Parts: sequence; structure tokens; C-alpha cells
Amino acid sequence: MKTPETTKPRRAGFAGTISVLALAVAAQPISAQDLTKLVKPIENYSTVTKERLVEADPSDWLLPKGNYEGWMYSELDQINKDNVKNLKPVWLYSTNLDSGHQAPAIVNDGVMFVATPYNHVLALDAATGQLFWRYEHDNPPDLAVMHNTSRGVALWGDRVFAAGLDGTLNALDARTGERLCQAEIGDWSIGAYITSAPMPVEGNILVGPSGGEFGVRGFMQATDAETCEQAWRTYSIPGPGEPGHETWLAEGPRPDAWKYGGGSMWMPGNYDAENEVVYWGVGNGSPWLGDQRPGDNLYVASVVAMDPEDGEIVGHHQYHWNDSWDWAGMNAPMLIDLEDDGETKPGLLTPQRNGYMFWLERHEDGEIGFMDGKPYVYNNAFASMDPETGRFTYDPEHTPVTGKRVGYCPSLWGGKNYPYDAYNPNTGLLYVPVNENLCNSFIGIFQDDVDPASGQFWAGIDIPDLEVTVREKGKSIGEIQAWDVNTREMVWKREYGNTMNWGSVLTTAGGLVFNAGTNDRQIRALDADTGEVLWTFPLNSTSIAPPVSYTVDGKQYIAVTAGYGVDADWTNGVIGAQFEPGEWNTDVPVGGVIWVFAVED
Amino acid sequence: MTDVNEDAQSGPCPCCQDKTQPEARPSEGRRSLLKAVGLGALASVLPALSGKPARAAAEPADMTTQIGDQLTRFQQSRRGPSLVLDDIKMSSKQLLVLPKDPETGIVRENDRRNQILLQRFPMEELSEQTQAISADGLVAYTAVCTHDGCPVTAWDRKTDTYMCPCHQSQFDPRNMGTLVAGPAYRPLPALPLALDEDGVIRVARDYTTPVGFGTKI
Ligand code: FES
Repeated sequence: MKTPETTKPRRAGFAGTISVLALAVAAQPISAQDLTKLVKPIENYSTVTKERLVEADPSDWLLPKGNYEGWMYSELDQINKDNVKNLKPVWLYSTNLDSGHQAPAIVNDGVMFVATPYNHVLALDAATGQLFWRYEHDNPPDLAVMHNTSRGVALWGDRVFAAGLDGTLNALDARTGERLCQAEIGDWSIGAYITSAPMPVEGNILVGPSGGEFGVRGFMQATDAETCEQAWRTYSIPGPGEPGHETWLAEGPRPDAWKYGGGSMWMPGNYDAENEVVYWGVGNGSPWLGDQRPGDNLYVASVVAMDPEDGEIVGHHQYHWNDSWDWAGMNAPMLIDLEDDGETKPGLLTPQRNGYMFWLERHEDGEIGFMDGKPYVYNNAFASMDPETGRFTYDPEHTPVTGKRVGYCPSLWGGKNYPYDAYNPNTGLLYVPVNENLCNSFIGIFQDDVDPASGQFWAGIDIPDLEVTVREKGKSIGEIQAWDVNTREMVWKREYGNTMNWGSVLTTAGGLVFNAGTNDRQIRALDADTGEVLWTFPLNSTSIAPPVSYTVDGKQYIAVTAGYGVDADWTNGVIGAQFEPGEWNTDVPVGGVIWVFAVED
Repeated sequence: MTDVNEDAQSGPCPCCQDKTQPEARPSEGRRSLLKAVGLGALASVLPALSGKPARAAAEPADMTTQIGDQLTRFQQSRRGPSLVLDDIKMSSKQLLVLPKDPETGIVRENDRRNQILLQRFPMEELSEQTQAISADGLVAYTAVCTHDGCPVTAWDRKTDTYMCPCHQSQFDPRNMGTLVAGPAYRPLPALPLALDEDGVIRVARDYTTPVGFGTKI
């Protein structure tokens, strides 16, 4: 870390957690003039409280996925199957920036906050699109990151929290955009930059850095929303003496592999506010080759349950042991009730990057039980699954190793990547943005000419050796699937053809499913029961950000930000090169625009 | 020579400026002087260029690349010794290097924009423009990808181009870092090199274009 830290054990048997002394950079307000363009202060700003976050009133969109459970669901039904054909843009706003726009609009009582690449935050009137203020984060001039994006802001009290690519967390005055204090969380120069949306939980703001391709040991940090001081930090890879450390065998050429073993927590988690347990996803192992870090490698490619008080890991489920495919488990499972053996149980449901959907049980104390796992895309690496524990056996033919070319499906981007799936309690269906029919191969290398955590790519492959292939030309790649959460069967799917799907899903009580993310720039509304396309609209660029819904003065809006970039842009070029001209659309312009739609009376 | 020293002291960052500062190119004065001395005279001129502490930068390690700097390997365990022509094998993969202050030997390792790609080709393989910035077939480019700034550390043997590990942008080192493929926005800025009389590799002039990424240069 940039700033020296002091480690102080909290109590005996404290699992996976290291408490660190406060690491707040400054409580000095930085002049709004320096970093913030203030057009008009926001009047009568509605303070965000735990109660409001738990309630998740549908007029707002206060959390990245709409509610603490992570549903991507809006109870609003003014826009519905009957009138969605009349949905029209009512205002647009250009972010004036390129690169991948991946943040949902966060809406609080008629005020919209949008985070952008390069870490700008825009505060806008959600009904008119008029700017209140724009914060431009002071990233260092020599910054470099693999993903120049931001996945949203957090709201707590009268503050907006924005993480910086430079590894900082910044508390802004919601009314003026003035920066009030800042915490240094990750050291971007070693690869620990932040793209995740921070999460407000019980007065702390939780966020962790990226770095799984750079030899960074992942962690989650809670920062006090008032003081910007560190409340706790929990590493996703247990250190010596902590439970789970034994799953990092001190064998082979890198006996200390756990120190740079990856496991970034780079997507926002979910929260069980009743039992006070947070659920977070843990990313891929670093380097990608599992044989360079023998053992199961907890908590890589897992969900962990943590106590929000102190960050203690109180439960976990590892989706697959000794990850060798870059199949990060970064998306936390959503919290829903599930039927199992004729009983309704508090559950966790998640389609994972490894191509499997997991049904898990959550216990009050945070322990996580296994219910079921099923593939939703073709996976040739997992040979069998223990029905009791969910533990897989692997096909060595399709498990990457050092020193040889190995191919596998789904591709390293997974059956789905970071975009959110959505759950509609009215239909009982889970809607999953899927990429089927993609595979890849690479040659594993032992990178001893590059130091881990030196800011250099350290994934254990030479990137020109990465070959991405379409398994069956003519078969669709991007699609959306609808799964009955209780029968555990797919009910419908819609195929998008020669495109990947990088779009998060929103579902509403109007019986609709919204999804963009395809290289034809379309956003579409589907019938939530049948998957029939009811409405489409071509955006300025492909949207890879979650659509959201809210009301102002009782009128329902749908908001989505378009702005192609980072991995979506990369994969589109790489896969497009395998097709004949005209077969695949590689012409997707970049440029961020916030689009807001409504049905006019 | 007085002018040269003055110029060398004038700022911490003649080579790769903050992208928020539009003045990312060296002053006309320095440029024309270097043109005037030519490569032959450079060996004797360079120590004078770089020998004085800069006014604005506190420490040599914090400074960006300076004209006259020597180069050393990026890899921690091999960082330090100055690279000479013979250290660089013909037509092998690019080497990630850092500039070092020739006077104090301090490696300028604190500004990430100092990461440089170094490679050597038979002179006749280089484009005419590239030959003009090359020293004996040695070429250098910034490692900062013009897309999102990742270090461009991979080498694609199939196309003989640099490949950025982050989103696979490709650049041609034989032809001024031209963008060959991928989502990047512009060519990779090239760093003109020279050799001093002992064969030590030196930075001859400023980058051909500003170092930085994104469209907000
Ligand atoms: S940062 Fe180099 S291709 Fe994206």
C-alpha cells in the first residue's frame, strides 16, 4: 500500500480478517472549484438511511441492483406490456467521455447520479436531465488500468461515495459535489485499482480493488462514511494462521502463492439486513494457471458471507476449486427464498461465470449450504459434480496448465460476465444475460521475468497466445435466458445471433424485461413471461450499463447509459475478426450518453 | 552550452507530461538545438544536458524521462545497470525498461509513464521515419498504451507487432508505433535514442507525440 499500515490482531480465531489502523488521507475539504463544476446546488436533498435502503421504494433506485437482495427488479408498472411500444426518449445527456460506461443511474428522490470512465460523477435532475454538478476525480497523470470504468456510486446520509481508479474512495457532498474526505484503499501502481460500485452498509462504505491479472491479493474494505477512516479490511485469501490458509499448499516453485493469488472482490455485493450478513463474490486466481498455486485456493471463485461489523468471514461456498480458467466468482448471488425438498428456504441464486447456475441455502449465522448446480451454457471442463457438496471433478483435457496449449468452454469471459441477472417475483423467473458458444485456448507460462504486483500483466499467459473461438458458426452467441427459480428449469430463451450480450437485465412489475448489450446498439423490452420482443430502440452506442427504473412526480422512467468500451469492445473485435465481412458488426461507436425513456400521456 | 543547461533545468518533465497539461512537447529551443547537434555530437552533449538537478522535481526518481537518460531493466532483480547496445538481442521480444539519471545512477521509477519498450531490429527493416529516431536499429516506445494506459508488454510473433495485454491493441515497432489493430486511439509515441561513445543507450530527444491514453489528450 502507498501509506504504511499497522496490523493489529483483533481477537483470537478471527477468521480471514486483519484490522488495520485508520487510513484516511484527509478530512480537509477540497475546494469544490478544483474538482467539481457546480451549476446549481441540490435543494431539499433526501437523506439516505438504512431504512430507505432496506425498503427500496420503487420511486428510487438507491443501490446498484435496486435493492439489497440484488434483484434488478422494479415494482413500477406504469410502463407495461400494453404501452411499452410507445416508450420514447424524453431526455439525453452526453457524458463527454469515451471508454466503457458500466454504471447504473443511482436515483434518489428525483436526483440522478451517474459514474463514468475516468471517474467523473454527474448529478442530474432525473426528470429533465439538467446538470447540478460534475465531479472530476483527480486521478494521477501516470495512472494506468486494465478497465477504465466505474460501476456506480453509493449513497449514504447526505453523501455520494465514488471509488477512483487510483484506488481511492471519495466522499462527496451530495448537494454540491464537493469532496469532503478520501480514503486510500488500493495501490493502483501494483494493479489494485477500483472499478466496483461501493456499497453502503450500516454506516460503512464497502469496496474492494481489482487486480486479479496483476498478482494482487484481493480484499474488501469497510470505510467509515463520516470520517473516511478504515473500519476493517478482510483479505479474500486467508493469511497464515487463518482458516482456509491451508488450501494454499506451500509446494512447487511458488510456495508463497497466496501472497499474490488474486481473488479480487471487484463487483458490489448484496446484504441480508435482517440477519446482518453481507454476501460478496470473489474473483479469479492469479496467475490464471491453477498448477502454479496448488490447493483449493480459498476463497478464490467463491461467495463469502461476512459480518458487516468487523468483516469476519462467517460462511462461504467455493464454486470451483483451484480456478484455472479466469472464471471469477465476482458477482454475489442474489438473496431470494427458494423451494427445496418441499420447503421454502432463505436462499442464494447465481448464474456464475463458469457456466453453472447455483442454488445455495443461507443460514442465519452466515453459513452457506449447497442445494444444486446446473449448467446454463456448454462447459467442457467440469466432468462431474458431487450432488451433495457441489464439488466438481475436472477434465484435464480442458483444464489449463503451465507449458501447454489447453482449450475450454465457456471462454474466459464466462457464460456471463459482470452484467447483472434479474429476478421478477411475479413471474418467479430469473433472467440471465448469457454468452453461449464461445471457447478459448492459451498456453500457460511461468512468468519469472515479471514480478507479481508490479503493475504488470501477470496472468501466466502471453496474451497473443490467447485464441478465442466460436464453437459452432451459425449458432447464436449472445442470448437471454429465463429460468424458473424453483423448478430449476429454463422456461424460455431469446437468441441475439452474431453478437455477445454485455447487457445487464432489468425486470419490472409491468411484466417487462429490459436488456441491451448487443453490438447492434439496441435496447429492447421483452415480455417477461414469453421472451417476445415488444419494443426496441437503437442507442448511440452499445449500452453495457444496467438499465434502471424510477419515478419523478409519479411518472415512471427507464434510464440506461450507452457507451461501449473495455472488454466488450475488445471481445467484439477479436470475435468479429473470425467472421466474413458483413457477418459480424464490429462497427460500434464509443461515447457515453445517458438515455431516459418514458411513455408520454 | 549555457542555453542547454538552462533548458534542462526548466522542468521536471520534458518528455511525458501530465495529460491535463496541454504543453506536452519540449520547447522549440531544445528541439532545434538537438537537431543542430545531431547524433554524432550527442555523446558529448548529453552529460551536460542531464547533469544538473531539475528545479521543479524534488528527486530524480520522481522525474519523468529526461533527454540524456540511460536505460535499465524494469524487472526489480535486474534493475540498475545501464543497458548497452550489446545487451539487446537482435529481433527478440521488446524489453521493459526504465530511464535512469546518468549523473546519480538513480532509476526514475516513480512515474509510471517512464516505462519504455526497447527493441532492436536490422536497420533496413525499419521505416524511413523510424530509422531517423533509431540508434543502430534500436527503437524505443512508451509502454503506456494509448487505449487505457496498460503497459504494452506482449509480443505477437504472428504479426511481429506489440500487443497490449489488456485489450489486444497492436502496434508496429518498425513503423513509428503505428496502430495495427485493436481499440486504441492512436500510435504508440516513439522515443528517439542515441548511443554514446561507450555504446550506452541514451534518450536522444523527446517523444514524437505526447504520452497518454484515452481521447482526452
Ligand atoms: S489498454 Fe491497451 S488495449 Fe486497452
